[in-house]
Amino acid sequence: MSEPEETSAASTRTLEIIVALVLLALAVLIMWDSRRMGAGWGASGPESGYFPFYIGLMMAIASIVNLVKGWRMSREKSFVSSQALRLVGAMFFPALAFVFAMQWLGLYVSGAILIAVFMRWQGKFSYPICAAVGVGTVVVLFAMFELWFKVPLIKGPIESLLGF
Amino acid sequence: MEEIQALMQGFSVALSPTNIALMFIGILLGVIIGVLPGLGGANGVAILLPLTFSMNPTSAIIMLSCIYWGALFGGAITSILFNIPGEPWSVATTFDGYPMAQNGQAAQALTAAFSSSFFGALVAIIVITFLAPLVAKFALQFGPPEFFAVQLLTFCSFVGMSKEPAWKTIAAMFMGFALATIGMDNVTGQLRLTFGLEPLIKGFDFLIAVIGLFGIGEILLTMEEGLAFRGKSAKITPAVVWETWKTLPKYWKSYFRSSFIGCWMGITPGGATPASFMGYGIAKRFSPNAKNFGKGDIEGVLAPETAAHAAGTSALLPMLTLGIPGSPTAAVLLGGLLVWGLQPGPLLFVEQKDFVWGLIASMYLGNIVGLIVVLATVPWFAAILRIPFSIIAPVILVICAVGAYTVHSSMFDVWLMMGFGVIGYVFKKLQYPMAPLVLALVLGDMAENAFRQSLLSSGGQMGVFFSNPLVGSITTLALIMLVWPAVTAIMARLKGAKAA
Repeated sequence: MSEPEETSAASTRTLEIIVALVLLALAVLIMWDSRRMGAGWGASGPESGYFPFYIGLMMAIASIVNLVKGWRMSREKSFVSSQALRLVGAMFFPALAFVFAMQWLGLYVSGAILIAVFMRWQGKFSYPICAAVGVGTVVVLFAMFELWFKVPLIKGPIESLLGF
Repeated sequence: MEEIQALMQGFSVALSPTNIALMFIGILLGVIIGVLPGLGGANGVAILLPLTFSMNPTSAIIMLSCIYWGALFGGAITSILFNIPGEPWSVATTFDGYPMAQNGQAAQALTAAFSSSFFGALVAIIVITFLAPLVAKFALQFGPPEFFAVQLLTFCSFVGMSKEPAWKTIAAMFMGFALATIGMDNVTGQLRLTFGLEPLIKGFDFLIAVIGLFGIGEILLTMEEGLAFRGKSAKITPAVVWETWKTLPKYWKSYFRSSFIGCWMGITPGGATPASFMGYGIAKRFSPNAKNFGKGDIEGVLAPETAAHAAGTSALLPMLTLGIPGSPTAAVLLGGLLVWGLQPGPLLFVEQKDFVWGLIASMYLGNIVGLIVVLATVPWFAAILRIPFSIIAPVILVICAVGAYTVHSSMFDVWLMMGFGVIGYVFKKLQYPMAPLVLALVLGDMAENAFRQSLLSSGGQMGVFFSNPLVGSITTLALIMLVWPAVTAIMARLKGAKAA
């Protein structure tokens, strides 16, 4: 899919190997923790670690196979081009900032900011439209969750000023 | 007939004004979910599930299952008009649907797709109506070894039928099992794999995983492909619908083949996606116009749509009768049953007759409502897709965060969702399948309990899974499914050697 002038940020082979190694590490961790709890036959039947131990074992075997297969792959195939990675980052990092801000500002305010900022930045919409869509979306969410279905969402100082 | 009587009782439950209103709301929401990238059946239902916690279970499942039907319908719209499959099971619909739209036959393609979806679903619902009570009655005699064997069959079928590499399916599946074991062991009360981290004690909620894997992951993938959507507009007139309907009956063979494939793949969890590809492939093999496939043949639209809907619908059969969902969305609905205080499994048919038959009746009604709604409102939904992705992406992200937060009112879950989003993005690109991961996460505890109880009764002998003809044959079938990819690989190699 990638055009010739696009540069690859990482090869599929690299990612295959990383994922297989991470899963292998997790599998080893699971087996180790299961042994700690007892992965054998206790007084009341199979111990707590019995089932997880074999899960870890199967995961380890599958990861090793995937690791070997990944290792043998050609280095040519691109996992993601730099251009595409930049676009993915343009969504991912604002999303992280949004979740971070949620803890203090609440979901509604940080949600409105995320929508407005992203529209302005990526979509080049005019400021009034950005603000209207951002605020409009969270007002609809607020009506639906807080008022209609009575499911409270995380709120910040601005909502408490307004008396919610 | 006992079933007909029960079904009529079900209709009287489903036909209350509230429930009919919920059906319409569900279908509309479902179509929107199916049309928008980043929101699909599974995570759409997962996000809306917390809203139903206070509803009565029958109304709740009617609304949520209608969202599912709506999403199944909605996937076809984007495939045909925009060449973008809104859902994985509508990929095969793009092969002929999009060329038809290019040739100015968008309305015919959409009518064929919706009508075929309806037909596939209808066959599956009839199968559920008559087969489910029998399966449930049969399953009442199951003990822990039989239940474990059925679960083994479920998971082995994933390995055998998945189009993703077998070892990746296994790795993803066991990752799901591993995530399921995190937290308190409900037999001994010991903490497992928590490593002293407090938020892990209550374990991972699969709803968070679904929202992250399917929602956030999908948004990231869509971002990568750029932000532009360009597509055909569509207007469906009653005359076109009528003309198209007149041509459909001559494809009856394709309809029945696809319905059969769909029901088979839905009940033994292969899922809607492989079913739609198989439906397409088989229609192409048997069609006299095979040459036209891929250039805009109507049979290439109706075959995968029928199979996908039949599979998507019949996936509810094992969920209702055995408590084993056949698809991620069915898994989310199963999670709903637990939240509403119902115990999934064969006893549901005995103890919750109104719920079960109300749901089955609502499936008939919901699909009729769905067909009418999508035929009438297609231009509006196509308009939704013209909204630039730079608006849709952050809005969907906020909705996903709402969904993740409402599950336990916990910020930790929102962070977790972001983590699952990254996993979803990487896994999708590397062809690690996500459906078995989610199902393993949902069924992990049940599978482990069944396994432990079986071993307890046998004193640790694995022979318990072959101790009678029933459990033995299920286990054997499971093992055959497991080694199936290896067998076909060896056969292909032998054939290759012969040819060379």
